[in-house]
Amino acid sequence: MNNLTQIIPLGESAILIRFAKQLDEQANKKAIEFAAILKRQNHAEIKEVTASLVSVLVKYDNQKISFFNLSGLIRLALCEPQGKENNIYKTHKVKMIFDGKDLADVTNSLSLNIEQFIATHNEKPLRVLATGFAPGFIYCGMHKKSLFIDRRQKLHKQVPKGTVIFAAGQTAITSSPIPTGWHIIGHSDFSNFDENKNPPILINAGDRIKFVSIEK
Amino acid sequence: MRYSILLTRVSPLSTIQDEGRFGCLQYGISASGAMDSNAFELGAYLLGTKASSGIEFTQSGLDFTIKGKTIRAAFTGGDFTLFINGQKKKWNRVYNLKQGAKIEIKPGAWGNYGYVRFNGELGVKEILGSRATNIKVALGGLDGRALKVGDEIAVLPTSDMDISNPPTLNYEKKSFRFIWGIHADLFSQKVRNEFISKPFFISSQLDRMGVRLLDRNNIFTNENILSLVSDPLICGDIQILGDGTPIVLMRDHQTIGGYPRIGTIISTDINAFSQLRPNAEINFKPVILGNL
Repeated sequence: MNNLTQIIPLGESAILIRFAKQLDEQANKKAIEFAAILKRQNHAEIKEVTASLVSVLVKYDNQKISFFNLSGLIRLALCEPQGKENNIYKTHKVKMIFDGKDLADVTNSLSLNIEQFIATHNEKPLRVLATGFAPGFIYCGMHKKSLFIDRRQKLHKQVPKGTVIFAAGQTAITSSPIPTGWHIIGHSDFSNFDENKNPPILINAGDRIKFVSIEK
Repeated sequence: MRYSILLTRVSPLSTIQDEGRFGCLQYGISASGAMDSNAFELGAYLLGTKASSGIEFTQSGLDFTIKGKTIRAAFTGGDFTLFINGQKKKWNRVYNLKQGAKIEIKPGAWGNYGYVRFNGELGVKEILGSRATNIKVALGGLDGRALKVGDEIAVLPTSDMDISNPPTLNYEKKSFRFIWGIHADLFSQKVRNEFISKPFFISSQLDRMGVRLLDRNNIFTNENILSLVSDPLICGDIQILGDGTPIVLMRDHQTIGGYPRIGTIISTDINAFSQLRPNAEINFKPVILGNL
């Protein structure tokens, strides 16, 4: 019952379709697939569709369609068979250096040595759960339960682009400077944002990432 | 000879804006665009221009001189006083500005944002379909940064266009309409009642990303709803931070966030809201979708 799909207004020209109230891989897959379905249907009244971790945001033109009618349209789209979009996802190799300043804290609290942590972290490709938050930012997950660790108590005021951060069963890569409460475990030369390209990002939600550890 | 302007005095965090950069939320980029889009649109209406960009300046105004040929300019936004070559002129009007003209825009009694638009597009590159600046992520406008003294900005002739409906401006309002948000039910009945019956005040921490509110009645002081899954954010969302501070997200907001949102101010009311200065008293008024 926790994962009933909800269609909720967000202001007067946006709708949130929420597949779960907590982070959940099934709900995440549904969100990514549903965003792809809505985009493929290409409704003139819809201005923007974006998937997040467990929800999809739809911005619409309220002069062209009411919340009531759009909810109905979304209800119908929710009945579309999912899975058609599967073949569009790519797998990317991302080289990274495990040299983050919180790495020792992380491995200590997980009772692993650094080699064990790297091996477990890189064991299998991770799914890109969502893009967004900041330019090119990617959330990847989920790690196995033995790698779950809470966010830090204290915020890092700013981490540079290319920082690899880790918390709550996920690894994320920054492509712009941001503040973060996640643990810094390393860095990468990879950037998922190029403002001169359209689209400006290379890695999309639903893609897979294989982290490869390299030496300095 | 070309058209251009040279900035000689610039209020902090003044930027080049347009209607916004849409369709980029999935890349982690909010739309940005003029904070008071009504006042910004009024400029285009007065000029009758297709040009989509303009300068947004902040409370202390802007001075510039005209290099090059005569251009037309519209001055709109909060309360500012305009001087052209030392002569006081009416605000919310269009003027022909000749080569060498000195324009001074001085602060007035209310408002945070003012606009100057020309009968031409500002000569900066479009990034992802827009010239709007987001300083926080260093994107768009002039090298993704705030404008500064000495910046010379080209104005590229753009065709005229009649705009039929002027935007409606209403800066008298103290009561801001909102729609209950995705986390409203996580707040107690008491908190929700107080949210719509007691006043809030604008704090001094306000910028293009968000406006923090002063909760002098301590309505949210003991509310700390954490560990929510992150969901997409929109401009106008009223978030309650971990320490109980309410913040209204504005045009340069982050695109995903995990703080609880009690409601969303409707987009038509965000314009007047953006012009409120610190200590202004406001109320929140719940409205329903079918009744706007």
